[in-house]
Amino acid sequence: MERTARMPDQRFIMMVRNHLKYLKPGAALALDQPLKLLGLDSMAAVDLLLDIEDNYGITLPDTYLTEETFSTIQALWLVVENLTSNLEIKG
Amino acid sequence: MTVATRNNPIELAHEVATVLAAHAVAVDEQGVFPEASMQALKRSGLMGLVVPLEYGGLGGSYQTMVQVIQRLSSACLSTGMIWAMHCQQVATLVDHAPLELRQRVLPQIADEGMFVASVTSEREKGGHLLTAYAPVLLDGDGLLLLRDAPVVTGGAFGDGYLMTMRASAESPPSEVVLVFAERAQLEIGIQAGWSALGMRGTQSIGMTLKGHLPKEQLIDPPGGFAQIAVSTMIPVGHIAWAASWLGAAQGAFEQMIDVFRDPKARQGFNLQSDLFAMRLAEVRLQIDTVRAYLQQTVREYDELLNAGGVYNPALRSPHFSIQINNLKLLASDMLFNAINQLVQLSGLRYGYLKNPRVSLERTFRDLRAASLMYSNDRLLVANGKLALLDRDIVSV
Repeated sequence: MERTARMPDQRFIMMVRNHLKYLKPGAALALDQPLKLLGLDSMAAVDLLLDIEDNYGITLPDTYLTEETFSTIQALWLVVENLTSNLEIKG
Repeated sequence: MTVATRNNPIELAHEVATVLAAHAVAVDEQGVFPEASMQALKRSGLMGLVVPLEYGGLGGSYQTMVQVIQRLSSACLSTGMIWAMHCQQVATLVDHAPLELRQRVLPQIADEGMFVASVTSEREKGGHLLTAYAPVLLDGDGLLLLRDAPVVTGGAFGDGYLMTMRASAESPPSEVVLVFAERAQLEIGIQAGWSALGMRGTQSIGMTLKGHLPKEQLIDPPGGFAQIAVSTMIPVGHIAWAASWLGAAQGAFEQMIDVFRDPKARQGFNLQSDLFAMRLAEVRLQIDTVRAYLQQTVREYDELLNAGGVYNPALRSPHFSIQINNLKLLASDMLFNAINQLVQLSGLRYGYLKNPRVSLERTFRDLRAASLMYSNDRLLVANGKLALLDRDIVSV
């Protein structure tokens, strides 16, 4: 299976959308759109982080807890995807 | 005034503080802006304390700023706070305004004592710093501005204003820019008065500001307003606030020590009892704790600036944010507690009644505002969340 080419799943995108207070319901959201402008400040990023960790059963290592990781869906998905793929391999 | 005095900010602060002290009672009782005290500050050159020497200012460090704020606030916390917040605005201009704007405005601050007021509050969002709703509108070559603000410290008396605005009508509230305006460029409406328990001289009124400004007065550096906020506005703001509360608490404490050292005045206090000593020690401990944390924070902030300037990524780290927020939380809570305990120790006459010798009653009312200004609840939520990201607190 190709690991890094997978698109973010719907569940993941909904999870992110829930934390974007300035994104109108139903409005389009591109994978490379800056999330900060849509309301993902550092507080909201922590809440999103907790949601992701709960849902995927992972803990993001400290090295990934950067502004870059939370900058776009794309960047965040890359991290999550890598961590979940590693889980699959280990499992 | 000697040349040495002219150039020594601490000496200047001591001199001006006598003017502040002379007007503090009337300013508080009448609930009016401390005009005479601000005039004295303008004449002294202290309005330009943090303006670099090359622009005619005193080129003072943050360490010096903190000392001056403490001295002024020990005489009149309202005036000390107004001046402290002015320093925050000036530091923001120094660090982030485009060169042309700096060259125009900084000499006015240094030479003429221009007082720059801060406009960050908004009805839709309260005091939240990192968002803005009223948009800047482009109008030909200029900017069209209509800004409503429920709380502006000293707003009616600003000679200039630094305002947070939404970047454009299409931008989300999280896309913020700063706009500078001189008073003469604006139509100003005063909407609501300020009749408060304490900090009565700050006259933190509601106002509207309307104007047409040249584009050069827009401040939108790389990294946007978030960069301005984390590198200058928030750290300098919380350092300046903490210093002002500390100065006020120290001032009241010193006054009470004078009372306790005066054999006539101290009758009725049992200074030789352990209980008295322990209570006094607890007040002193809290004041000293805040002083130590403030000094440490200023030192670390200076080190980060020296190492990497305002774009040092460490200024954006959870670690530094927590520390800056902690300073505000600690200073606002602990100093109010200290003064509350000092009121208890000092009794009705010195602690609760207006007393010409001691300003404890006023300081108590003034310091009650500290935990409400940029509410501690909000900062505790932020720090709780950030603490989850900052696991490595042993090494710095």
